[in-house]
Amino acid sequence: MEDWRRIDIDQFDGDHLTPQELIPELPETSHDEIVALSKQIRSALTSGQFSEALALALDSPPYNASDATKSLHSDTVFETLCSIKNNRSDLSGIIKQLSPSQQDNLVKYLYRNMATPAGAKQGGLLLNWFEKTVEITGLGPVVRYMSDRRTV
Amino acid sequence: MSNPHIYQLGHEPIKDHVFSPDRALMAITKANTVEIYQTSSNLAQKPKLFTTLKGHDKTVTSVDISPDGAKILTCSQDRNALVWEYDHASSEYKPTLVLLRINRAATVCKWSPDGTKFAVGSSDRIIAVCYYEAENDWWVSKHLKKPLKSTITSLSWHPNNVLLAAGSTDGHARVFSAYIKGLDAKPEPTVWGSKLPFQTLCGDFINETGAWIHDVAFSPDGNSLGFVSHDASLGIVYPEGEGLPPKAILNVRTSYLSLKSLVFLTNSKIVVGGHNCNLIVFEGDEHNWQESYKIESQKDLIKDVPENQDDDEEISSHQALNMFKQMDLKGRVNKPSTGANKALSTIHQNTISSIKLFSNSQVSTSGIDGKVVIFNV
Repeated sequence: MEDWRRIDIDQFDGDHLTPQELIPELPETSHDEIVALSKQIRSALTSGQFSEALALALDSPPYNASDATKSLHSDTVFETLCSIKNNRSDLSGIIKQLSPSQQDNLVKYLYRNMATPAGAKQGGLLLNWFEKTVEITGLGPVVRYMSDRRTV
Repeated sequence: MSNPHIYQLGHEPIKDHVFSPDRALMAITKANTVEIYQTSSNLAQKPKLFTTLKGHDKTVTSVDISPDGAKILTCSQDRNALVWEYDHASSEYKPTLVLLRINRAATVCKWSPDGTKFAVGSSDRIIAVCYYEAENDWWVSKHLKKPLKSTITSLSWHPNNVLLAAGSTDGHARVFSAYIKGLDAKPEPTVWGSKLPFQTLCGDFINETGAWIHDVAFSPDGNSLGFVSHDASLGIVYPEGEGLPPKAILNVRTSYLSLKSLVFLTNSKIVVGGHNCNLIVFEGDEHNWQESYKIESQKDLIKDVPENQDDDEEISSHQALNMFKQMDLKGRVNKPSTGANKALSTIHQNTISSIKLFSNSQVSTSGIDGKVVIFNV
């Protein structure tokens, strides 16, 4: 018998909701902006301003952007996280300085990077960040990562 | 402050509960039926099961009692809503059918403040506003459709009996006019608008993440609207007036699991609850809202390890299995406790599915764990 649970019944309704319509409208972020931002972040990292670099990276994630732009920014965040881990010991202190929305975004990028091959190799590092973050923020950011329709 | 009153009413999930205005009756949903309990004025006494309403053939999703306490409204996934009235001759509740005209499950139902009409939300992208037609002896409905495109999860009536707020799974909380000509008196102008023919959209707000709205509620004065959503945040909107952008839209993030339900205690105090099994009180005004306190002190299951029990006690195979699961999942050995220890430190052992105002200083909650609890706030 046909698997009737998988029939897309919405198609029989004329005017139905599409997945695109569910995403809140946001201004588009261009690729150039993110390239410029990643340079800014790198220079902050080389001059030792770790908290500033992380805050910069998590301030306004490119929610409405092409996949290439999104993954470029995700790589930049990953680099920042690695660099901070290698140079500073008190991750908790850095996380506490972030605003609640930056903390939410941090968790989003942690999850995103866990899904990449590069992130999988550095799993311990990402889990370390994750543990420290959730210790401070509670489970809220995890719930928001799962329910947020704006993806990073 | 006295202790909360806990009623364990079986072990099936209670999706919704409601007390009659005089607090003498309580109705809870249980699978395909609604159970009616008689409550004692002494709250410590467990309510007595009075009768069971059997009329739906699928899960009952919502129950409400009319403001005069005489009519019980139920709606179900079987696409029907029924209005139950007590028939003294046969001493039982008799249902009247409501012509909802919807093709998918009814998800939520609410009486209007004056009890002359009610609204039923559905996953058919329709809110049916229903009123009684005496000549045919049934309830007919008018549909609120535009611009709804997703399942309605929650409804709330404005105190003026005309405005209706609806939360839906597309992340929108909307305010409609549900003015029925010939039934309602012309409403006074409010901050939400002055001309209110049926189906006027008086406000449309989206939460930041676009996550499901689980519950909406008007403040007691009707001048603001609160909503909780699946992203564990609480939103409060203060409208400025007709045609103007709202005075303030506040979004308070919490550090807990998703929130399922909210209730206004006063215009400046909200109680919310949900998947974290505890109630949280928020206080604020149009400038700022913030978390005030939790009703129960709560242990963090990740951090607080229960104390180890006596080592000599034998453990069952089930507990041993759990122990190895814990080692596997958390990398930590907890010897399972052999006593009747509760899994969670809160009263509710599972999601709180609905919160209702019980008195000025009390709220009642029902949960997936089959409990109804009356908390002092």
